[in-house]
Parts: sequence; structure tokens; C-alpha cells
Amino acid sequence: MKYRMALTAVSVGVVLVASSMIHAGQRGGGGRGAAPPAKQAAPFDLSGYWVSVITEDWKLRMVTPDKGVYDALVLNPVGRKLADGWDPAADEKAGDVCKGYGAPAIMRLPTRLHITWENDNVLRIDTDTGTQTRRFHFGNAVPPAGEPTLQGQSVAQWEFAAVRGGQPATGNLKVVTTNLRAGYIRKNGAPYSDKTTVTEYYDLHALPNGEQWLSITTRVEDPVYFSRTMTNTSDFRKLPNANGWNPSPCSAR
Amino acid sequence: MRKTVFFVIAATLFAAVAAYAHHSYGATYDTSKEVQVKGKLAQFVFRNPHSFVHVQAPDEKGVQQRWAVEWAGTTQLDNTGVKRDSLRVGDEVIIVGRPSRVAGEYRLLMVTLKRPLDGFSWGTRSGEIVD
Repeated sequence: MKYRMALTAVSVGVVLVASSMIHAGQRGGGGRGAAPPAKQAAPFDLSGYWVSVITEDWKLRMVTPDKGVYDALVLNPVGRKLADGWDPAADEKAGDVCKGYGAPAIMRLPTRLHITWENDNVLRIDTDTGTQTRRFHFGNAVPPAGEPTLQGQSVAQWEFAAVRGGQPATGNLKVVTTNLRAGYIRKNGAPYSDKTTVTEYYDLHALPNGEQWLSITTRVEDPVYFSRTMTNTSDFRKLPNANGWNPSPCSAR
Repeated sequence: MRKTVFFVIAATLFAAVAAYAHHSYGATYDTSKEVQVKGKLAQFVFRNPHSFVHVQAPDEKGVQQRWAVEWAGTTQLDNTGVKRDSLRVGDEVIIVGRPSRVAGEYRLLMVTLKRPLDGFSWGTRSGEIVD
């Protein structure tokens, strides 16, 4: 049985410890010499299985809202007009049922993540919801941009907090995604365009009881259909194993 | 040691402007009052549904307390110039907020925040009200 948790916001708040205090910097050594591979340089280990914890906007995330429900979105009049014309049957007929599972939206859906290192400089995230795959390219591992895709092209870097003597390195992951195919920021047809840029920050939080939580801050900028930047945080709890991993296809509804 | 700056403006004139969009803050905070605290930022949690700042500052008796100040959500803050790294632990800040309805609770609903060191501020311009 899937374990879509709906814990209280209080429990999440306890977990979130000064994530925003981190600022970019070099990890020791003043940046001399060749940079180590991203996998080796990582200030924390993201690999493993994670489950989304839906503690807010439940009715907007756990089910597909009706047409016209745009709460918490930032659509401009053009975007709203397009959303009002949402026709899931047409998407199904066109075989284009994954438009609500693109990079700007996928981390807000109820899903599990399986995070692995595809190689030393490519971090891979698979979702069971919609069976999507994202690849975060570090350093020189960024391939040439091809045709726009739902998951786009993601360039990643570790950002390190200033290190004090004897203290372990801490930091966060920053990911910028472009080259996106247009899709839905919400499955009820609220659009984002192919001009969208997604900037994400991944922060890991360790609890005294041994639990690990991942907080993702996501900024979505769309000059075409948004009136302003949309910024959200989404939370995931680490799982001990793959139990509950349940790949499911995209749905247009 | 910074001297306590703590005062309560018991005025009803603020109540009328508590035009919050969708949250009933009046159940948690006394929206007819304002409290000012001045101290060092201990934590900034930039997140949904609402962000929080925690400030180590004295209460009305001069006793150091950790104040939890409820702020706006990330989209609103981001669009009013507050980013995840805008505030840092140790920053000296002056915060005006609505106090808790529960006596002895050191929590506030953000009205204004100022950082004298560089003039950074929030709460005085259009749109800068906790939504």
C-alpha cells in the first residue's frame, strides 16, 4: 500500500533547520586543483527512496482539481484563458497525457522518488508517479540541448556553506532546468510555457531520531503564462527500502 | 547588550486593516495590538505554507526569549524581494508583529521587519502584508 503521508505541518517545521542560512562557497582548499566529481564532493547523500509528505494544498495535489481551480497559482490572463480551455480528452486522444508531470510540477505531485547516481556527475531521479526520469548534470557533464522535453535540461551544482575548522562540509544542491516542453503546472490544465525556467534548492535535514527529510524549494518563472514567480517548498521523507514503490503511468485526469 | 525595546500599542485602529486574504489570523494573534522586538535572528525558515523567523530577543521584563514570528509564504516573499538567503543567523533585526492571544507565548505575526545594518526591510511597501 502506498504510504502517502499527510503529517502535520508542525512535524515538518521541526525538521527544517536553518536551510536558508547556507550560501555558496568553496569547499576547503580554496578551490585549488581539479574539482572532485560531484558524487564525491556531495555534502550529503541523496541516494535512496523518498516519499512525498503532503502537508499543504492537499486538495490541490492529491487529486486533480476541477477546471478553473487556480488557487495558489500565479497565472496571468493569458495563462488563465488557456487553462479554461483544458480538455483532457483531447490530450488523451493525442497521446499526450504526461503534460502535468514535467519538471516544474512533478515534485509537487504525490510521488516516491528513487535517487541514484547514474555516474560520478549525473544524479538521476525516478518518480513512481508518472514514471518520469530527471537527470541532474554537474560540471562538464551537461550534454548539448536537444529538443525540448518534459523534464528539460537540468544543470546542477553543490552550494557549500562556509566551513569552520573541524566542521564537516554542509550545503545544498542547486538545480536549474530549462529547455522544457510546455506542460501543466497543475494537472487541471493550468499551463506553463516552453520559456519556463525552474530553479530548485535541495536541502537535507537529519532528525535526532535518525529520520532524514528532504526539502525542495522550487522557483518557477514563466514569462508567458505567469504574472510573477511561483515559489514552493515540497518535503520528502527518506524510506529504508523500496517497499511501496509503485510505478504508475501518467494520467491526463 | 542591546537594550530591550518592547512596547505594546493597544489600539483598535489596526484591527480594521487586518485584511488577510484567506487565513483567520485573529484566532491565533491579537490583531488589535502590535509588539516590537529587537534582537538577533536565530533561524529563518523559508517555506510553505508560511515562513518563520526566530529571533532571540528580550521580553517586556528584559528576559531573553526565542520569538517565533510567522511570515508569508514563499511565493509572496519571493515576489516582495525576500529570498531564501536574504536573512542570516546573527542578523540584528527589529520586528513589529501581532502578539499571540495566549499569554506567555512568544510568537508574533509579522507586520514589519527591518535590518538596520543595511536597511533591508519588509512590511512597509504595497503587497507586503502576510497573506
